[in-house]
Order: sequence, then C-alpha cells, then structure tokens
Amino acid sequence: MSRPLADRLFADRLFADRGAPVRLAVALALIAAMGGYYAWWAIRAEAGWRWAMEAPLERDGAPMVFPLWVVTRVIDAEHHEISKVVRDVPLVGPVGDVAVGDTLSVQGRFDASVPAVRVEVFEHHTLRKYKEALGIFGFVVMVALAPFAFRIERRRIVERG
Amino acid sequence: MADLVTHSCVAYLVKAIPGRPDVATFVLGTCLPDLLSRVPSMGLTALRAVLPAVPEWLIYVWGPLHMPAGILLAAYVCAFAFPEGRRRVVFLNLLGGGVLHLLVDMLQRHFGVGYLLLFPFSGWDFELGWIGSEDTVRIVPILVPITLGVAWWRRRRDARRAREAA
Repeated sequence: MSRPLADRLFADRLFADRGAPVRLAVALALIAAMGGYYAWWAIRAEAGWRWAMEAPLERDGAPMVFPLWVVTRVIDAEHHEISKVVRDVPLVGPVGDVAVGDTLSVQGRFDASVPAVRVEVFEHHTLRKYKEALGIFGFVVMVALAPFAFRIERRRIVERG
Repeated sequence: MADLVTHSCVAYLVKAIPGRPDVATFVLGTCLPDLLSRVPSMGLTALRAVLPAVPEWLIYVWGPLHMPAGILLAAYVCAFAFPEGRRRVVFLNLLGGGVLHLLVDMLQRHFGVGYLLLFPFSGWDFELGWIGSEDTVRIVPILVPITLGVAWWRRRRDARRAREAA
C-alpha cells in the first residue's frame, strides 16, 4: 500500500541525502539571517542607558528595565552599579542587601540630573548562582551520559538501545 | 530559562512514563535551545567583561535558536547528523523536546521582555509568569529523585518484558 503523499514528501524529500547540502545551506542561511535581525533588534532594545545618555535632558524620566543584570559596584546602600552587555550603569535608590556579583532585575526611570537610573521596582535574584551551577552541572551530566545514549557509526549519530 | 537539570528531568518524565521510545533524542531536543543559544551568549557576555573587543552583536546573534522558528530550523539541521532513515523521527523528537523547553520556560516571569514566540514575524512576547525565574532551583531536589525512580522502574519493566518475550 502506498504511503500518503504528505508523508512521502515530508520523509523522502525533506530528509533525503539527495539535495541535502542545498536544503541545509538554506536552513543555515535562514538561521543566520534571523540571528542578524535579532542582534540588530536586541541592541536597540538593550541600548536604553546609552540611548538616554546621548541626550540626557531630552530623555529625563524615560522608563528603563534591566532584567538579570550583575552588580559590579556597591558604593553605599543607595548607590550601586550594574553591568551586562553595557557596563557600569549607575543606580540610585535602595536595592536591598546586595554584594558585587549578585544578580538584580531593576525597573526605574532615567534621572538626567545625576545621571543615573532611579530605582522604582527591583528583584534580588538570590538563587541565581545556584541556578547557574545547576545549568553547568546539567551540561556536564549530559556530556558524560551522551556516549551511553548515542554512538557514532559511519560519521552519523546513532541512538543506542 | 529554567536550568538544564529541570529541562532534562521534565523531558525524561514526559517520554518515559507513558513508555514512549526515543527518550534520549527527546531529552537532547529539550536541551538544544539552551545549548545553542544561552550557552554561547552567556559565555561571550562573560568573555566581554575581560575582553571588550568581543562585538555586542555576537552576544545576541544566538537568540533566535531559543525561539520557535529557530528551534524548528535547528532541529532540521541537527537531524542531518543522524542516518537518513531516522531523520524524520529524530527531527520530530528534537522539535518536540524544543517545544517542551519553551513551555517550561514560559511558566516563569521576568522583568522586561518575555518569550518572543512569533519572531521574526512579530515582536509580541509572552510568558505565563506562574513561577519566579529561579524557582526551578527549589523544584530540582524533588524532580531528580522522581526522575531516577522512574528510570529505575522503566528499566525493571523493560527487563521484565524482555524476559517474558524470550
């Protein structure tokens, strides 16, 4: 009995060795194009601080969000600096009992008179280091277990069992 | 994103409890979005702290591999590492694992932008916001013993079935 047309197209054409280099090149080009577009989009979105500093007086009071940024300097209880891709963004306002290396999410407004970000809402991610450690542990376990789940045969990955 | 231990355990349980095949490929699929997107991005961010010459775009360029369209394409490309006759099954398992990854991640809440599910067609973002972004750390001590228990039960069941078949 012949298989349905959609099944034959999906299985035989899309995943066949014949023509694979072209299809893979197209898929990789699409991934690269999406990556480039996303980088352009994200840099504009992440550039809140730099954007505000380009014209501080015009952008005074602009809302700003800093999700999962790392504390890079503690000056006193009300003055801190945070970094991610952009380095050393100054914060004014209480953010709890944080130390250098801690992770914060901050929502606030640009204050051109300082200049700094005046903190309105913050979250201190006290478990972030444990989460990162779990991520590394999970990666190590996955790499260690991979040979038990897969093997290489004729330059292809084959599932065991 | 939830951590890789949580993702792996959830994927294993989703496949192993109903006794479905291709568990390892499905677990690999659920880890791929973080391995292809978050790992290089976080590594390069850390590297940029000591080596400012690392360009900013290089940190963000991996982002789409943690989004539905990127997961679909990555599953397709990765399927070609497997033999021709297995590629469709591998692709569906890698894709299924990736979708499960997003579902688990969407349970979390973050400041700012959530998950861009329609990128590159739309900048609309979504997350359910039911748990904090680090709450999976509290779940892991429960999830790992359950997963190990199910793995043990599945091995025993498979061994018993093999004996009965023989």
